[in-house]
Amino acid sequence: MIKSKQDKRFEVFASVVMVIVMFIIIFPFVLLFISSITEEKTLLINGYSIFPEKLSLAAYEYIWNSRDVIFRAYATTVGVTVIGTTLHVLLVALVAYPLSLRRLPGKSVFNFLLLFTILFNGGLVPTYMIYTTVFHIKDTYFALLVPNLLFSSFNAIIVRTYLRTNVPSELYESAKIDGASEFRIFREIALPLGKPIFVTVAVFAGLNYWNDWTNGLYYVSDSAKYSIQQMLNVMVKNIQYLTQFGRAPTSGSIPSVGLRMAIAFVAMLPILIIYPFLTKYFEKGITLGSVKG
Amino acid sequence: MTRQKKPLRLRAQRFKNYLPLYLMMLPAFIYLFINNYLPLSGLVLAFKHYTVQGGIWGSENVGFQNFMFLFQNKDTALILRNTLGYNLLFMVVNMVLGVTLAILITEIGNQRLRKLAQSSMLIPFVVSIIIVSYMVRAFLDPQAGLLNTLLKAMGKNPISWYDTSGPWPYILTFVNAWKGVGYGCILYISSIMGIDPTLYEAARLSGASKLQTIRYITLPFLKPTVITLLLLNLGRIFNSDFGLFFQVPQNSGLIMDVTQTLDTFIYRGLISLPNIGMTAAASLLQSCIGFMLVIAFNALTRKMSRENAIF
Amino acid sequence: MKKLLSLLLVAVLLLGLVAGCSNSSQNDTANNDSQGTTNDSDTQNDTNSEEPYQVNMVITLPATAPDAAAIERVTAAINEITLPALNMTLSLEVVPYSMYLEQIPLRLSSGSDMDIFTAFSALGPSWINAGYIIDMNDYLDEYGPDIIDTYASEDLARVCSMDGFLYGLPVHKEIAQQPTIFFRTDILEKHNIDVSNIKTLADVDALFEEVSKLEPDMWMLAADNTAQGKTIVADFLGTTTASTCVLNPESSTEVVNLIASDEFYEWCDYNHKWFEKGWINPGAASDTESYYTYIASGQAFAFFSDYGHPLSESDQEANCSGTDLTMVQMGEPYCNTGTSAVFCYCIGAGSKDPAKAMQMLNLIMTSPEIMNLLNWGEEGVDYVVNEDGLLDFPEGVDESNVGYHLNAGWILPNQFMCTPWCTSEPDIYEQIQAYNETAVVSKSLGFVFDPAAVADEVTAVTNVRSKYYKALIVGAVDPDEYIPMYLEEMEAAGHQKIIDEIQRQLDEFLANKA
Repeated sequence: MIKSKQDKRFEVFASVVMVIVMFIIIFPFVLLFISSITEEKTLLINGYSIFPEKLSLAAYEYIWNSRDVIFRAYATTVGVTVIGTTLHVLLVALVAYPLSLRRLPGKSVFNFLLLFTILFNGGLVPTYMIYTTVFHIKDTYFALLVPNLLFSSFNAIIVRTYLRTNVPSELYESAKIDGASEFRIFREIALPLGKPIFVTVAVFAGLNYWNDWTNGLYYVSDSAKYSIQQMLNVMVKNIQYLTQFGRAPTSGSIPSVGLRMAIAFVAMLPILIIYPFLTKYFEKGITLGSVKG
Repeated sequence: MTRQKKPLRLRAQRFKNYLPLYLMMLPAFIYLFINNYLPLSGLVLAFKHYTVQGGIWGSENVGFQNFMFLFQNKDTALILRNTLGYNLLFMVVNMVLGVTLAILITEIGNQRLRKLAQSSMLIPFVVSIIIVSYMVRAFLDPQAGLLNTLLKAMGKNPISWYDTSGPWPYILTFVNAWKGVGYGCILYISSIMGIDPTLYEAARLSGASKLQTIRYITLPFLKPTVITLLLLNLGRIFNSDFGLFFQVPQNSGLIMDVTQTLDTFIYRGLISLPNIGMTAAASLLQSCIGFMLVIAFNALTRKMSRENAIF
Repeated sequence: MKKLLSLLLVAVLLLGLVAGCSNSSQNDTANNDSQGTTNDSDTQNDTNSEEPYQVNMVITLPATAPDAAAIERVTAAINEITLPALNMTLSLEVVPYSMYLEQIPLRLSSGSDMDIFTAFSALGPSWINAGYIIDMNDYLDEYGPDIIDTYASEDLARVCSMDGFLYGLPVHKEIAQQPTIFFRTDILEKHNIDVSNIKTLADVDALFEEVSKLEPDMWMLAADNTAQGKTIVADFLGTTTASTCVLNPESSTEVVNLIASDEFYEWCDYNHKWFEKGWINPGAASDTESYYTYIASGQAFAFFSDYGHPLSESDQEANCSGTDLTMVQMGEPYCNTGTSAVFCYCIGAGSKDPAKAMQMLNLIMTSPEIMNLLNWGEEGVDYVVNEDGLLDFPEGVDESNVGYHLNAGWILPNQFMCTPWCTSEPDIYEQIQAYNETAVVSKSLGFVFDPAAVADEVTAVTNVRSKYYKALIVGAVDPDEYIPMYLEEMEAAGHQKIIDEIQRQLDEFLANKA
């Protein structure tokens, strides 16, 4: 394809604009990181800056010194993310496969029941009652795990759509003729052929588990079971209460600005590191999420 | 299910065939029943004066009193304006930005730059809103923030950002776009990639300019995607991202007339006076209106282009 | 289609019930079933001689809690005392401040079986109306007779009462607040400044004028946007609007609008002047940064406080990461319902046996052993007694690696039972008690406003407040312009109706008392 002059000009224009956009996207991350290694006094007096006068690793030293606590929170987050994601994908796969079959009677009722949960919810108090008085998940790892198991029924719809459009129904039919059971068809046809979409859903679920802080806020008070996001939240809010009541039980319990920035950075670091490997799954998930159902 | 009265043999047989499939769906639906459907009973609290002793069912019925509170409140108009206004604004802004950026990205000639641009679009999407609020603070902090440092360097008076309502509609729209535009953008990119290249080729041969091809080929092809995204957002038009409207403005009072939405209003009401009935009333309203909107727009879409409807 | 739907619902419902049942039966054995009916608790009472009752206690702290193992170790030690004494065990849980407002109301609203828990006293009235907590009057005299004796007066013990409903027992600590200002000692010494005569805002203003010339880059004041003007002596009568109060409460009982008062104007005016001159941290109105940070970092020179009690200076120094501070008391200590009970201990409405909860509280508040365990942990493990009879860390243990060390007597039921830590003076608790006796007592002590009748107005006024209040008290805006706007909006929100209602209740309270 020969490019016209006009096309070339447009390409250059597009490249320049996108470089600027990328800068806007990345800049806040850089600022966050720099402020985490800025010396506290410099930060308070000179303000946030990309080129601070004085650098200091005090915040990271502090994190390293309290690594027990922070690594435990990390371990909790990682554990919950891995288990939660696995269970989520399993649940989604199991419900999406039958729904992807055009022959299933009552399909639209089930579809409706799924979609309904996206729009209606009973509110926090009743949900809390059920989880604490019937299931007693308070202060257990289940509290971080269970409320998000099907955090978005929408994922089931995405998977259903993918399976319907990407797995030829002849495959199922011939398997049926061979006498394969539904479970076997699921395991040997739907699961392998749907792998891309399952990975995508897993990536979204993992992200959701990793960034979740609300369940901890409502259900967990045992500091040993904090996730990394909850720890971040607890630290910042403790400062607000402290100023209100004017007492600190132990000195030095106020984390500095730099420390908070450092922990924020540490909390998102793993995601940023694996992000390049996940991009294509994100993209796939988003794309599939909005194709017709 | 076995209680079905007139089980034709055929029907029973058919059901038996499908039993394994129903069993597969069982775990998810049991979970949804517990996690989503059982708590729905809490919606009756919208019509009750809730007390612990009475519980959900035993508390006193008060009819529509909880709703009356919502409508009598003189801030309600403001809150609705903000909730609806921001949602509509966000939809339009994110759509226009998303489509524009998607077109620009697909036009980049350098493959590596294009890849890079495409994958950086989603980075903000993976960060939690708490961390985003930290970043915003780094820019807007009245004392140490980057923006005020710049203003001072330019010889202008620093602005007390968290007390000045004027800029906040822009700030919130910007933050929301920064975090969310990548999502739609990726979607539009994939739609553009799906367009048959021979169409462009033909357009070029008949002497169409770049802008013309965008206007007459790309945009019409993006229409279905745009509709689907709008549809998805419309259902949540009475909901707002609590983190965006509460954490990002740091619960600051003077800017509340431009940051207060239904969700933050409910939260603040719950904290200052525990009124579970009122919360239930507000969230019931939110759900009902959202539900009706989705049904209505889905029906409309179905009429216009069947394949774009969600269900 | 419809038929199928209903069938499905029935099926799912049944399954759900099965799941629910199996779970609750599991928990019966764990003695955790919260759905106990009256019959159940009767049978439980019968078997009490064998089965000890477990009291669930929740305390809150502005720090992360010790880990579960340490708490378990300490409660095991506490149970060695409570089991023989009461045939009860204690189950202790620590909820950090940061999650208090999310977790505790949720728990209370779901009827969870919290027996004893720390409460911010100001929240009590709305919790009474929501039925979250029980009236302790029904149990105090019979099951907690020793508790009342731990307070200086019966009035102080029953201060958390609303319309005869006793919702909490206040934590033992200083009962008074006092207009106070703290200065960085290093700056005072550097310029040889005497601050002992600072009594009014005008004095402070003159001082700032002087110091700002000597330290032009420094903020004179690190402002606090969360409280009221710290030099204003007012009795807020248990309200949360921050605008309804009695001024000069030792002699007056007239409820007024604080925002319209000269005292409030004076505070805002001075602060605004300071703010304009750049003497206050410019972000104060919306700052979520602790103002202590600015003192600790050397960026600010002074801050106001309402804590002027004997422990205050060392407390604040600790808050400012050990910065040496000079405290100056600008007024007399004053005592009212709010100051004498910032925190209290309540019994939740979900408690299965409030009488037993009260007995446990009675034991805790009068037992030095239990209070030491709660505050300092186990002897020999978390602390040792030194030669002066004070407590210290054991060999090789310090703040960073100690297992259990709350050091938060001010939020525990009765710190006066504890042995002081070696870093404070040996008679510190006596000092506080002596300080309490010097306080000027409000005529309305013991009155707590019941907002139920004007709930909508209170919500509306609170919303108006969050718009103006912070900016005014840190001086970020001009009071001449903003106070009239604030007043106008308050009026529109029904503020006068609240004032009238408070006055009515207060008059009734005073008549009953007389």
